[in-house]
Amino acid sequence: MRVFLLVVFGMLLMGGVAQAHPLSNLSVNHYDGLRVFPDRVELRSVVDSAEIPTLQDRDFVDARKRCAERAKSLNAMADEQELRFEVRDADVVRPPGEAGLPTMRLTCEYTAFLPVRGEVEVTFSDSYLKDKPGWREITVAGVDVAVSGAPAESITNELRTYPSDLLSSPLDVRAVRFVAKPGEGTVITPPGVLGEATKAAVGLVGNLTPVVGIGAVLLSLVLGASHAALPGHGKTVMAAYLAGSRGTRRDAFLVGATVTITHTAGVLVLGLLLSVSSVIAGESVLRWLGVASGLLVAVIGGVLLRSAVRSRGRMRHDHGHGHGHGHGHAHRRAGLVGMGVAGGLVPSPSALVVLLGAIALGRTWFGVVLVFAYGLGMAATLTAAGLLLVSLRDRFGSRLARFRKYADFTPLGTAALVMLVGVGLATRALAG
Amino acid sequence: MPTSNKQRLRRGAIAAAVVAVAAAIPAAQASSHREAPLIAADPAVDNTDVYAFTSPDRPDTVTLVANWFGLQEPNGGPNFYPWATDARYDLNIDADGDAMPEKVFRFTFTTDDRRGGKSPTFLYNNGPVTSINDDNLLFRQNYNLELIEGSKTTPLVRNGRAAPSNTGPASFPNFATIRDQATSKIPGGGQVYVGPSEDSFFLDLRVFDLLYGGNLKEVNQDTLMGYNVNTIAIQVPKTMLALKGDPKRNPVVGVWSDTEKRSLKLEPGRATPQGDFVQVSRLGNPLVNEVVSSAPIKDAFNGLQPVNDAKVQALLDRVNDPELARLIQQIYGIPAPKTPRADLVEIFLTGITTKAGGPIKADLNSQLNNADVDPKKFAPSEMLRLNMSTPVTKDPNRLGVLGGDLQGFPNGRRLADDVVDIEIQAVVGAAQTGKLVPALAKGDRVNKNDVRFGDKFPYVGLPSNRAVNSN
Amino acid sequence: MWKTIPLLAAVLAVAACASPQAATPAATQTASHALQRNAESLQAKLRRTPQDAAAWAQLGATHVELARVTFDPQHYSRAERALTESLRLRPESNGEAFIGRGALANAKHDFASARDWGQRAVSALPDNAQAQGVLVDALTQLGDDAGASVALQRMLDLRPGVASFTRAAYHFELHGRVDDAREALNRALESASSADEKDFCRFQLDELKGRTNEEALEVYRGLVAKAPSPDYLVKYGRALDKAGMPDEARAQYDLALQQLRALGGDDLTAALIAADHGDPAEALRFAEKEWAKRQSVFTADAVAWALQANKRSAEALRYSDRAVALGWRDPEVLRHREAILGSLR
Repeated sequence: MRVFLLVVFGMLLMGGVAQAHPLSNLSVNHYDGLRVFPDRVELRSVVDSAEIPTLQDRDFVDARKRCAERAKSLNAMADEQELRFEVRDADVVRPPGEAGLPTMRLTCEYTAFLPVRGEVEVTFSDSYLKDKPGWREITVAGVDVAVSGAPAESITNELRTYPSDLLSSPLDVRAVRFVAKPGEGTVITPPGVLGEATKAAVGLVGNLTPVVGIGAVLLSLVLGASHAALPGHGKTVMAAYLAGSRGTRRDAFLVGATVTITHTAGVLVLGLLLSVSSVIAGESVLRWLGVASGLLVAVIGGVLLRSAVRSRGRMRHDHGHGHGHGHGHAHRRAGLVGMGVAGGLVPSPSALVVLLGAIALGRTWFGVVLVFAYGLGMAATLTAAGLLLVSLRDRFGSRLARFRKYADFTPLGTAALVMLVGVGLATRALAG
Repeated sequence: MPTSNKQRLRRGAIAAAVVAVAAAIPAAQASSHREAPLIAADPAVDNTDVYAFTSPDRPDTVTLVANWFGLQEPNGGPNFYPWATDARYDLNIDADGDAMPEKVFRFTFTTDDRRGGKSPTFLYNNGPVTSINDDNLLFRQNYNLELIEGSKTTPLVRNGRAAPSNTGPASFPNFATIRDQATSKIPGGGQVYVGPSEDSFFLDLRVFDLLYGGNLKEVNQDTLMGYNVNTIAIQVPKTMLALKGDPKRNPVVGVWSDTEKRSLKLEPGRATPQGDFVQVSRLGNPLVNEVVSSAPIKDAFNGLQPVNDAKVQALLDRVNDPELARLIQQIYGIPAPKTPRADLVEIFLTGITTKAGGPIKADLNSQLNNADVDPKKFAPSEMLRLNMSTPVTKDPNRLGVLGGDLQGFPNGRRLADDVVDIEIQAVVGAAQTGKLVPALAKGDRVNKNDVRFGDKFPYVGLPSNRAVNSN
Repeated sequence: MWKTIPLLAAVLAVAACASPQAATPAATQTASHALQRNAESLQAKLRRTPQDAAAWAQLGATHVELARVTFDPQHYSRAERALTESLRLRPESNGEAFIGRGALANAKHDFASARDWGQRAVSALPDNAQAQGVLVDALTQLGDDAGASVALQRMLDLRPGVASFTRAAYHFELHGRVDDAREALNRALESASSADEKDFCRFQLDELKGRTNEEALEVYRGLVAKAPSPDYLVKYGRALDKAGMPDEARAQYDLALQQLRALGGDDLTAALIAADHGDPAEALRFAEKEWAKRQSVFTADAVAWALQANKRSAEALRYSDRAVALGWRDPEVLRHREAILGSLR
């Protein structure tokens, strides 16, 4: 079991190693996503700098300031009237790139006032760092406004993937001209991976017949179950804890229930937030939740460690074991709940996708059902795993009696491991 | 949709592979070793086409047209297309059939740049140019024309004015005037024009891609529509070209153009590193690189003097067994004629004659048919051959000789001859059988030029002044 | 982070269902110049006839040129793939692909393999100037001056033009014949038919002439903004030093070193920077590594300067002698030499 845990732990850490920058370590890539509303234009502007330009960029202080500077190289005219982009939000992440060098992904959210009452022709150009090699992409979508003349969807997924067809040239779009007029908008999808996957969910939820409905619920259950079966988050920790401490079958159910509730709640809250506002970048929220979840696990580990050390000390004195049982009981239950919370805190992206898709189609309640089913699936897997471990331990526990002195170390070891995994999770989330 | 699904998935896989490849390439690329251009083209000295025909309005003269610097985009911007000043632009005449020119019309250029030193790349002209001597014209080129006959050199035109590149309607409101002004007289009754023109060649360039692995269904678009070239057109009395000055006894002349450029000598110790003139480009029959030549011999061919053609076995092999015929057989099932292709040897290397034992039973355009040619000195070589005694056809057939119109290609070449279709037909054996191959009758389905040709010298279309992509 | 398999499956499914989009929509503007247009027309051709090995080879070679002109290294991976495809279609006597491979190897500073590709290209296309050009570049960098001269003269006689004239200029410069180099560059400039070729010639002419400090600052600031390669960073740093901005200069050297240490690349440049602004031992390590690969005037200068940085002036002089043996009078090389001679006095 320990070997298994160590392997899993290793996998978790390995998973955090970032891949090389997709284009080259010299490029600075630009994406401008315009969303035209009846009263305004919102612009998401992403600048993805590879390793070397990031190193070179020594003047960077903070994202908001940079976004304000960046606005100067944006030029937009709506029928002779110049649009002024005000920074609404700014965010920067620095994913590690090649050889551990940082890269930089700056996301600026701007708003410009633009009433679309009749037909309006808009030109938009971006000359930021115009000499640097890199991709340049501009998309335009309408929200309750019909737009035509420019692509609506990012083919680079907002500079996350770069099409590499040898027979088409890299995108180098620095300006667009489009016409906006009142009318039906482009289907609103959150941008990015979420947006892409939401479309899948839209496909799923869109034509809701009873068969499709039941199918969707079942699919969500399966997705949840398989998500939980993958190594990651607090699940393994929980398993270790159940195996190492003297967990009962009830404990296994408790963990399952906690995970389901936390996860469903988490997804609902985040999903609703995301659908209400595009300000919150999905990824950064997930990252902070990841950090929180890791820290929570670490804290639980710490608490467990303390109690394990104490009870072991007492055992030495009492030459017996059994006394410590009652003492640690409340602690343990709290620990289990905490573990469940940690396990459910980071909403699974696929569950989020399902929910957002449903919201986009005006079937929010069905989405909630699906998310709940997803959580149930997760809980089922976790509980099953817990039950399996508990029964395994009960069956083989007696044979292990002669290894009692090792067994004494088990709570201590697991507690330490739990803490370590927690720290690992938090670090990984931070780095990502 | 299924194919596009597959493509998408495959693209994903490729993307993953690329990430791996990209990661393996070191960052520091531009650096201490100087990376000079490698595949730099030199269009200013690249021959694109040669035409030779009896002038329809002056049948006692012959007009020779040679083009360089293909695919000029007349986009009205700062782009213009000068002649090289370290090169010799030659039109060669071989009337005695020894594959060496008795007469060379040689054009050399000088630049008269009045733009001053301030912004050397900008402003070709400074306002509209209404005449060739307009002060607004800041970048000018002049040429000397000499006639070289063996060791004798006769200057024909000194400091002739080349017409400028047509940089758009705002700069050149009436280019025809300028072209007229850039046409000079030649002593002895000839005239010459040097300057831009709309590319007379018309074809769908894609036809060759397709023959080399596709199908002919997509063609029918003049790929060269709207592009200009640098043209030298010269009209001279037939007596000036014919062997012994007698076009009655010796009506056939061989014609080709070439460009020589001055090289550079590296060896130390010389005062200036000037080198010899080397031949960098050569053109006689149209499409010779596409139809006859091939990548490995293309470079050699451009530097090869016609007198050495017969010594290059690879070239002879290509004429005798053209790849194109085999490709057409593969794609269209039209059987390739038996090899060696003596008919193609006649068309490309000797001229059509009964005197060289070829299969085409006609005496049309070989120097061997000239009364004063010594057959022992005759050397097969690739050049355009014109029988100056063939009368001007009133209603020309675009398929020339194959279409029953003896005045057309391969008997010389008129501006309107559809050489792509003619050569494809010839390659599948139409000259041998005398019958057109119906399956290919439509050819590239571009049958005439997009711009009308003139009916007086220099005949070529006025240079286009609209950006190609704005059509 | 997003490593859940169900999500991946969902995204793949979506990607597969999504309607294919044109990479360059009509309403957008695309930067273009001659090479880019060339690449695009080759791409169009290859869409019609993907079996055309020659066109794949030309596309590959065009990407190598584009990388040089745009400073965008993604063209290298595109070149690599196009050339691989060409060689897959026609592995033997594919001279054009050999040229592309050689050009790519030269660009990646793998000069030994560039020489091999160049030789293969020359035997497949004996009258091709580009094949000679690949060989010229490789042999020059490997230190085979005689071989490079022969190939270059052949190149000049096959195609006197921008490609051969600019190489001749470099040859003259390495032999200390600055006037001839200028003359060759002027002829190259006259033959240049595209803006990037003209820019290259003018840039080299200015380098020969020497720039005033303001000019140098401006030129290298521009280049570093475009492509912060170690070489340009060092030149920019030097200009900053001269302009009395040592801190700014230091930052450029540091950036160059950081880049070279982390990402690898050109050991020659690394050696020179480290000798001046870094660790002498590291400098010598870099220089000797490159010297093991090629014994040219460039590496001789680098080894000399690295030895000098390690206070081994007597040994340094031997290498410095080799660096100037052809007559090369580069100001930096002379500065190194004077310092070495100075400490021996």
